[in-house]
Amino acid sequence: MRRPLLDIEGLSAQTAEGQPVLRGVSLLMAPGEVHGLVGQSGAGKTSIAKAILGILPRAIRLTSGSIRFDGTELIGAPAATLDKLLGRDIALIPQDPLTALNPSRRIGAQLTDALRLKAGLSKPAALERARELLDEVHLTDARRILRAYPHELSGGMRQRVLIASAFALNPRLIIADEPTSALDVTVQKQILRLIRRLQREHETAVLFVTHDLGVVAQACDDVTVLFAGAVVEQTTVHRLFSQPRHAYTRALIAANPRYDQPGASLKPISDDVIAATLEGIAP
Amino acid sequence: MSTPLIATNALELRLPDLTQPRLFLPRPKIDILKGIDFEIFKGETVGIVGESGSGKTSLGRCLVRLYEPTAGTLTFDSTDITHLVQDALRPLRRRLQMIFQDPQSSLNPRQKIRRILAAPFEMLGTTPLASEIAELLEKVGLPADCAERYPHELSGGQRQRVGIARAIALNPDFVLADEIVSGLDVSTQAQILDLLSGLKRDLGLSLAFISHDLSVIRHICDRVYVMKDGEIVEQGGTAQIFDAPSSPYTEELIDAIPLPEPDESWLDRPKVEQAISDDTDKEKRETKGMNLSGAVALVTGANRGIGSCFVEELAGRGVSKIYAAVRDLDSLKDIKEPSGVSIVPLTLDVTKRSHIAAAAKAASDVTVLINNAGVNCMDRLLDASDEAAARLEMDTNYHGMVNMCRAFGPVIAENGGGGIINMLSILAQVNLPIMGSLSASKAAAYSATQAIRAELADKGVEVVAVMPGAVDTDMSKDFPPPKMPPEEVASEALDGLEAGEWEVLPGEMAKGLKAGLSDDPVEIQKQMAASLASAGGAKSAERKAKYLTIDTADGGQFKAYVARPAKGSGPGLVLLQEIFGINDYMMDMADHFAEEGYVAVVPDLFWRQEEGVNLGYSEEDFQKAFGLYQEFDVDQALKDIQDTITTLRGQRYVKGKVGTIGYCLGGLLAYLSATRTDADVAVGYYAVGVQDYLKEAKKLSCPLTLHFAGEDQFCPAEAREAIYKVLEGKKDVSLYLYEGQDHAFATPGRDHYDKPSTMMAYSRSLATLRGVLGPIFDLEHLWDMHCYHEFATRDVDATMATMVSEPYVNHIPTMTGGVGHDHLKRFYKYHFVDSNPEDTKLIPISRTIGADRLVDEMVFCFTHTREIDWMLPGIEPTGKYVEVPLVAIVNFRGDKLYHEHIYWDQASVLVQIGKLDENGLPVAGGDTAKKLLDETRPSNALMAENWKTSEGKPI
Repeated sequence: MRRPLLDIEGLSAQTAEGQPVLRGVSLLMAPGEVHGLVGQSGAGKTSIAKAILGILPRAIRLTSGSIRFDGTELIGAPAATLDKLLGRDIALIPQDPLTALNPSRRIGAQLTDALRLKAGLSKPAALERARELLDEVHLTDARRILRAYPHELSGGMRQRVLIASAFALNPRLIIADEPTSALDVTVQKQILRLIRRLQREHETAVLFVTHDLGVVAQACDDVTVLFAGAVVEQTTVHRLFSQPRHAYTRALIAANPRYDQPGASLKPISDDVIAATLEGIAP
Repeated sequence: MSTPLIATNALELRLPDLTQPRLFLPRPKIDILKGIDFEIFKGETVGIVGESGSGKTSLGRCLVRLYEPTAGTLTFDSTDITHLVQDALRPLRRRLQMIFQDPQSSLNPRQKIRRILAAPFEMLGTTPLASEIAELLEKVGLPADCAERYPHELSGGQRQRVGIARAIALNPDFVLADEIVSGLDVSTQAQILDLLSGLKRDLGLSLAFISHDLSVIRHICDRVYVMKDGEIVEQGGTAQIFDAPSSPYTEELIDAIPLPEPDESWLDRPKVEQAISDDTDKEKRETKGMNLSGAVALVTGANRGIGSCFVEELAGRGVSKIYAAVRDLDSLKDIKEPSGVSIVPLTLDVTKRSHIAAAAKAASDVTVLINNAGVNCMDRLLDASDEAAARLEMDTNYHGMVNMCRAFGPVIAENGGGGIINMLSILAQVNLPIMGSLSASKAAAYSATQAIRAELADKGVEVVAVMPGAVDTDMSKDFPPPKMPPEEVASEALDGLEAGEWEVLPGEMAKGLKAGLSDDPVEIQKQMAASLASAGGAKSAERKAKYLTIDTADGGQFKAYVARPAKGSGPGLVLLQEIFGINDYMMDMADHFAEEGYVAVVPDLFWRQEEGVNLGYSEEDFQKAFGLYQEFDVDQALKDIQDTITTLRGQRYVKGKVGTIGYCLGGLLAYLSATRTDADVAVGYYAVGVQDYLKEAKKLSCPLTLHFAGEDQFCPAEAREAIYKVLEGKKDVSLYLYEGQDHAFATPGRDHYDKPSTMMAYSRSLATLRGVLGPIFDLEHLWDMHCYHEFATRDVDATMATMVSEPYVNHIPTMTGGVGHDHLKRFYKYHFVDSNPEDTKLIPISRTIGADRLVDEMVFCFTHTREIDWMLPGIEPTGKYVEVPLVAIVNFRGDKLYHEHIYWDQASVLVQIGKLDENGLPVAGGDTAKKLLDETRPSNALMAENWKTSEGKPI
């Protein structure tokens, strides 16, 4: 691996009450890699994403570790440094496309904001670029969409707009926080395909936060399995599903219903596995 | 199972359309359910699936009569409850229950669980005993002390259990479960589903299970209804629905579920690199890597290709000494000695044991060994033309490499550790039939490298296997482009060693080859074409930070944007900017000329005033640009241009001559580059101010082409006339005027952009550039290959591989074809290659070849035995024989087809198949083709009487 694009090392965080949220999480991402961050709710997936973006809620405090983006330490970095990186080199595809868009502004205005502010494009140039972006995410009839308000678009269209916006400044890392969880499966598939295609074309690395192992298997290259704020397994998706090494990972996979294996009974993760996993992770 | 518990017949539901705001009038209504026939029997679990908006939730709400249907009937236990009023429904409520999607919002946050569970009993006018509540909690697997808690104190799974407990409290007959597990983790989901199946069994419930998740449906339902747009598109037993769906929609829904089992084809993405990335992050972090600074290296085959690049790269990375090992010391004569490192020549033939032993003695301080020497005899395994050559391949590529490791492994370990790089090829893992013998030797070398790595693991010696695709060296000279520049291969290999990687796949091609190919070599050659094509396309990727640093004669430094052709090298072309700096237009043009085969650079000519200027065409940017232009020092800029040209000539990847092309201000600079620099050719667009420098015209030292816009206010008519007076008619000078066009007519996005003039000027510019710089592509051969795949092999991938990444085809009379890769490929695949009749034949008449264009004139013949989508769309086969003159204008960009314009006389075709009556119309049928082949056939027959009127008149 060349110099990692994202290098998280020993990241720990806790709540105001001292409850651990992240326990020494380390994670490396190469440029252009799609890395899945998977785990049950409360495992710390979203906290990691928020820590990278510097938007952890006040109640959660980082206690140790580092987050380096292309060699630059993000934790405690001056606001100007972060401001330069976020939105430009690091972008976000949020989970809920409806709440992520301002309902009272037209799509065009929202799409061109970043292009004008961060890339310094003139208004016509930004609009032109916005049109190209919509084209890239296969939203035909760009003219209409640029003039539309968010509620006038379907969920899938809104998510495409947000993907276009994430790729607008050719970021090197995109954090996709459950970007398809709110969508129908057929739309989800289109969106996943779109993210992979753009990611490949732009050589963008994507940190893909999801609870869906199916999405991990199909959309990611590498994967980190989290449990209770700790990394339990970190490997390629191929290996994760062919030779899961950790008992927790195996249990997580077994709990997943599969339409192609109707005979297999669904097994909730047993208390034994949870207890053993908790014991195994650093205090 | 005689009568269903619940049945609907042609059930319809209309609801006000909430998306239509109406202040005073009632909202318009929309059809939510459009005639649903549904039934559920006692003890049965029925799944209702569909996407959002399909009406599944509305159907559920009708079943429990939360909605009153608009039409049709709904019966429960043989009673018609379609329009029952609330009072009449109340006794039934106990028997019809519902579990909601979101337990958080369906449980009153201010009530303890005990109160929540007591509510159903209270509806019947009773109060439950504490023991009844406890029993209920036990049934759903909750501890008894839950009763005294509030909903927010419970987890999501526990809240959903409360929801279930509430639903089963009164022993209902029917429970509707609407998306009850969609918000839960898989483990909790498994628990809830398990609980539900148990309860259903124990209580004899009928369960309607609404979900968008087909995997869940498959696990718990007996039968399934699939809904779409308010209708049922399919229903049946679960196994039947999943294993043999009859509706394509169902199939699509099932296929859209991502399985937890990696499958690259699911998202149509290239296979991931398993062997490489199998290392976990942790392992990645733990690998050591080595620092090359101060190392002593030995490179075999150091005189040329990748070997000589290794020497340069190693020097750049601070090694202290390099043994340049070659078979023939004379071949090292030309190698440039980098400064700061001593190069020690060494005679070494890796097939000779004695040579290796001597080298190990002479070079006993080596810490890095680069086994680069290799032989390729381009032979198949079974019909190798020369067995001795194949043997030499094995002796060099395998035995030579192993023996070098055997000799130098201990040396490196002795010197405190270091690294070995074995230059293999992607062929070590992906066999290419045309080079079977090479593949075999490389595969053997790959296996050996693995073993050597293991043997040396605890001796502090890193071993790296490097597997590039085609590299731009003599060794793969017979390979089609794109080829990777050798210096990049060397650079990536050393990166890999420094980073502690053990396998390095440099370049898109290696990754593409490995990823895109199945293990079956039979498929390989086919797929290779497509893989090669895709490697050339990624434009945005190329744009990333490709800058060249130019050292100026006066000790300064500035940057120039660089775009290189897919094959890596080519003649140089310096693009001279307008007054807007290196902006998108200039970079686009550079990328464009790279596609044409040039190493195109855009020097930052404003650098002495302000570095990195990148302006758009807004009024504000224009003001700034104009300010910069006012202060611009033309004489100094010409020196910078000369330095750019000189730097380009020194680049390994610039092959041959270097020209300039400029726009606006750059147009003037291009003209001056022809008089003041050693540029080999210059092209200027709407140059500004040439009239002030006409005295220099006698110093013109290379071919020059200038384009003028008739209405250009920056070069008014008088100025233009002065320029023409001096330059017109001069040898090697071409002047073109575009009447009616204004300044910057060739810049897309600017006000005066004019596409036809742009294309015309472009063709003329390219003709000038090609004439001096090359590269000359064999357009005829490229076109023949294209037609061969289009008509003979009918292989769409191979056809597409002959075209640029986003080509287009337009059949002018019918407007059929395709624009862009996907569109065109679809057109070819489904509407072209197999849609031509069996007896389709082309009779070539003439062929004209220009700089970037080829015009084919031919007669196209066929019998109309099948529907021909591109020529006669929508016309049933008529069985008629047709011959029609046809002209194809084919445009190339570099060595790929960019577009085709195909013309023919559709009227003639229509007449020949009997769809157009020629009588009374000035059209002709098959005669047009016949006359093309035999010009002596009668002319002017259609003029009839009019023709006769000129008979005998003076000519």
